[in-house]
Amino acid sequence: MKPPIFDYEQPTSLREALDSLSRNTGTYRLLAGGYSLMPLLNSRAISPERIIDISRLSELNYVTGEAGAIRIGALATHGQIMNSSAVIKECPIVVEAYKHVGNHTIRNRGTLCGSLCFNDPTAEMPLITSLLGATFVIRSSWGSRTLSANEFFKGPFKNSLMPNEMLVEVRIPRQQAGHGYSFIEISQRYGDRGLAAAGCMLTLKYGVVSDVRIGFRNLGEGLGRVRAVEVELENKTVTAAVLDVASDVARRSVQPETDMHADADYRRDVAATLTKRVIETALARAAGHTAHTPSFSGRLS
Amino acid sequence: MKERDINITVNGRKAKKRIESRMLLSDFIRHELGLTGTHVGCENGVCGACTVLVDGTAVRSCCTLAVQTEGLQIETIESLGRVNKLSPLQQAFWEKHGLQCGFCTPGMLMIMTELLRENPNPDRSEIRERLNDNLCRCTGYEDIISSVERAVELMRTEQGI
Repeated sequence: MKPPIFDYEQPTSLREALDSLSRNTGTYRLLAGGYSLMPLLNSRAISPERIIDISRLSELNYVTGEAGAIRIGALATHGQIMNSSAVIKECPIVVEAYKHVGNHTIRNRGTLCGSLCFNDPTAEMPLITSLLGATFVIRSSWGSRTLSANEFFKGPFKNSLMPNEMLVEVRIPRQQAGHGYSFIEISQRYGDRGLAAAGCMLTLKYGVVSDVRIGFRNLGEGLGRVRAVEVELENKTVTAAVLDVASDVARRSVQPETDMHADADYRRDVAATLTKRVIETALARAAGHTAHTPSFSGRLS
Repeated sequence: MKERDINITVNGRKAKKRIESRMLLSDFIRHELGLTGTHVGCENGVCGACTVLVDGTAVRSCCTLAVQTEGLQIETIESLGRVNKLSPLQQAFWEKHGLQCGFCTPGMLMIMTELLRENPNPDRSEIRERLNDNLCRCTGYEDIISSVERAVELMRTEQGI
């Protein structure tokens, strides 16, 4: 189908865009890359009165790394981010997860901030930003505020932006040098929407792991980091017995639903299996057994 | 505004039109400019048949508003070659049976045009990775990969490498 009729605005500065948001004239949607919004318009799942096209706000198009912290502007595309030298060096888990985000054409125009706002339960980046401890910089015409991932994300397809507000930047704090990381996603075919995903980051010192972060995607409403699994590892030496316990806690912590692709029991099994795999891979990387920089090309094993 | 004037350059030709803001780039190319080589499959951003290049990068034209491309350069399948003078990529698809029904072919050729500009000598796994963007329901993809490999050979011969 075709999009419904709407008023179209193309502000040329952030100030102009924020002023436009605060004008109280009916429903609106922000348009950046368009790969989440346009299918909804084409299928007429939504009919906003105004489309505010922010794709020309070049002041929001940046990925910068200063002193290890990374700032990503609202218009930075997935492609720009995964090819940024700061991201490749400081947070390789982002590059690993990007293997599963859309495809090349989508990463050409799709933006990280757009995907975070859309918060599709199968999207990878909400989990990755949670694991990285990212903060979300939100602006409106009368001020700004900063939220953690936990505060920003609500249930599937929901975020905590108020009307008049816009996500303008994501900040990723400096990560521990030499941390271990892993992101694994299961889907029916390579490139399909994910059935379930898990991610892990940890630091290894003298055989003991600390700063353990583990989370899941598409395994229950609004699931990000899961403390119950993390505490099973924190300040411990990871043995087979510890892994078994963590994996079992993961199985019981997730709350997946049954749908046409997989039933809840299968997804629980996947959560338990992925928990072991991401921890083992993160540990191996922290110990320096595998290259620290993930390669992007090639298929999944 | 529900309507807007746009100036965009398609295949090197300037087009100036007054259009509805909601018009998709795919519809602008097909209906306003009559360039029906760009195919519309799912109109949902999934199949990739409608892929065109915008300022050199592959874009799904069904998920882009025409007004968003104001001032930009568009390349469609019509820019590649003609029936009596195929481009190396088109020639290779013909030789290696890279198409059957042909519906997905314009999109396939455009994503591979972008790939070959970025990387004139991709290996099979790089071609396969890029092919992940678009759907083909006939060929089973193997012949498309072989076609792109053949195009690399033809382009190298053309350049005397």
